[in-house]
Amino acid sequence: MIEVKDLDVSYFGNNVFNNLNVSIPLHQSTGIIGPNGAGKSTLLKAMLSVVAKSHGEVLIDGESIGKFQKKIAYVPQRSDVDLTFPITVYETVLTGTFPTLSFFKRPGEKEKQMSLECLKKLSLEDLADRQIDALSGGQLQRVFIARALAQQADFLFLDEPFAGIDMLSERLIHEVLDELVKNGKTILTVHHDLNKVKNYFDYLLIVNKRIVSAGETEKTFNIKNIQKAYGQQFGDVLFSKEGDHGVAV
Amino acid sequence: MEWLFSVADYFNMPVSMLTALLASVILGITSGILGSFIVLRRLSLMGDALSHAVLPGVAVSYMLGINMLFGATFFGLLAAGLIEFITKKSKIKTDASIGIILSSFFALGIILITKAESGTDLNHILFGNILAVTPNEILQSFIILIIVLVIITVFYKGFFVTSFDPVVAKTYGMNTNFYHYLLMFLLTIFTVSALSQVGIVLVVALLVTPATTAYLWSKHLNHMIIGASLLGVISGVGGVLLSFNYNIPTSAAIVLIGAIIFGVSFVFSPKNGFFKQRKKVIG
Repeated sequence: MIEVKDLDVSYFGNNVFNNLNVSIPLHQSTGIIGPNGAGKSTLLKAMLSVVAKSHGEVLIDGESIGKFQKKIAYVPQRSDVDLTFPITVYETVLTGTFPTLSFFKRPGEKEKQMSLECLKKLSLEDLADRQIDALSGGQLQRVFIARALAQQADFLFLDEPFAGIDMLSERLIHEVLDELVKNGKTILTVHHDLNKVKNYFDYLLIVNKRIVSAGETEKTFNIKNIQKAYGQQFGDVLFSKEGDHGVAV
Repeated sequence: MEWLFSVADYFNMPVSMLTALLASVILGITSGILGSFIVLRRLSLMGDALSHAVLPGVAVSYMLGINMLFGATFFGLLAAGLIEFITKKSKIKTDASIGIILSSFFALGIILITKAESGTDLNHILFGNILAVTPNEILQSFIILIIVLVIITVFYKGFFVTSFDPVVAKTYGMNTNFYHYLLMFLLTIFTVSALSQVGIVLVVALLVTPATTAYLWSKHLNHMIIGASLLGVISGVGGVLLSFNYNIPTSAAIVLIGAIIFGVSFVFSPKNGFFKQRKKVIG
């Protein structure tokens, strides 16, 4: 189990989180949802110490998350990456193998083979030699997923992987993530589109500067919790039809 | 350094021309390697700031009679640290804090140089004189080139990932601050090596112009670094030859040749593609 304990995070004196506590199950796919500015990405980044915590700790099976650093693959939001960098699709995926290498070791035959396999899993082999700034949003997202795969991590932390991508990319990424969970990996995804929450996640955190609700998706994803996080009116729109199929935001 | 004379004799050129050519080759390679990382990490302004900020260090070194490298490194890193501190601890933007630190360190340097009364000519430090470069300075530049090569090679993976995707680099457990300051350190020792040859004022041109030009032609980081070094050498050698033949200031000639190559690349290179259909996919 991943445990976040007494987490405080602040930006220039503004509190984003105050004494946040939550547990996330292992070997499942967990989603983090919440309105804009709720701190979804910040929670993910604070767990990885990319954003500084002012207080608190994150444990995996009782041990500090730092011990698992190289076993956690992080997929950033596309806007966080410098796309003008002179690097090809293949090279980007290859950098995913760096954490598996010792300090002086350069990627060898094994790492190159692994990177090619990861490219294939996401149907990117034809784009291997393409510059990353010449890709569509969906293709680029697949490159980042392939890079994360190349790290052979046990944990995947993804920041909005499905935002603004084409259907083919979405399906490919979904399939790859599904397979990872079947193989016992743990996935934590920041997600903004309430539409497919039930298809994608076994477990759900609903966040708005605090944990509004956390639990199995079946039990957690309901009008009451969504209204608590997004406000009264939004919840009405979302669940106004029978059943609870969400409406895209 | 007898061999310098024999070589110069053999090619029937003045020794000062040979030393200038040697110096410009060494400088060109070093500037290409460092410049590539400076440009990709958006530190061009920082490069300008550091090259100016070493001035007090140069003066203090004269006063204490120590090698310029020590004083320059101290003040260079101090400036880098202060810029970082001001930016991180306030809402002041990086360019503003760079502006403040650059000019104050430079001003302090001017005062100290004047007070040092060491017979050092401020003009010489500001604008350099590659024709008057001594064999010892060439040796020092060469050692600095070797240091830069070794450090960049050993830490290549780290420099690569922290430049490309610093957030993911952090999650890999790479210390992005370490790489930043390591690069700043290399930048200050490079400035010392460039100082006597092209002068403080034009150091930034050596760093930024060849690297940016190479960037326009490259798809891979290593190609960019090699290309930038090559362009650095071409502008260096070209500048020296031009200044010998037409009696124009060498450092200015080097910088302008670099700028002309950039201008041509800007129009014709595939990345800018004024003459080539963009292959960009939108969506």
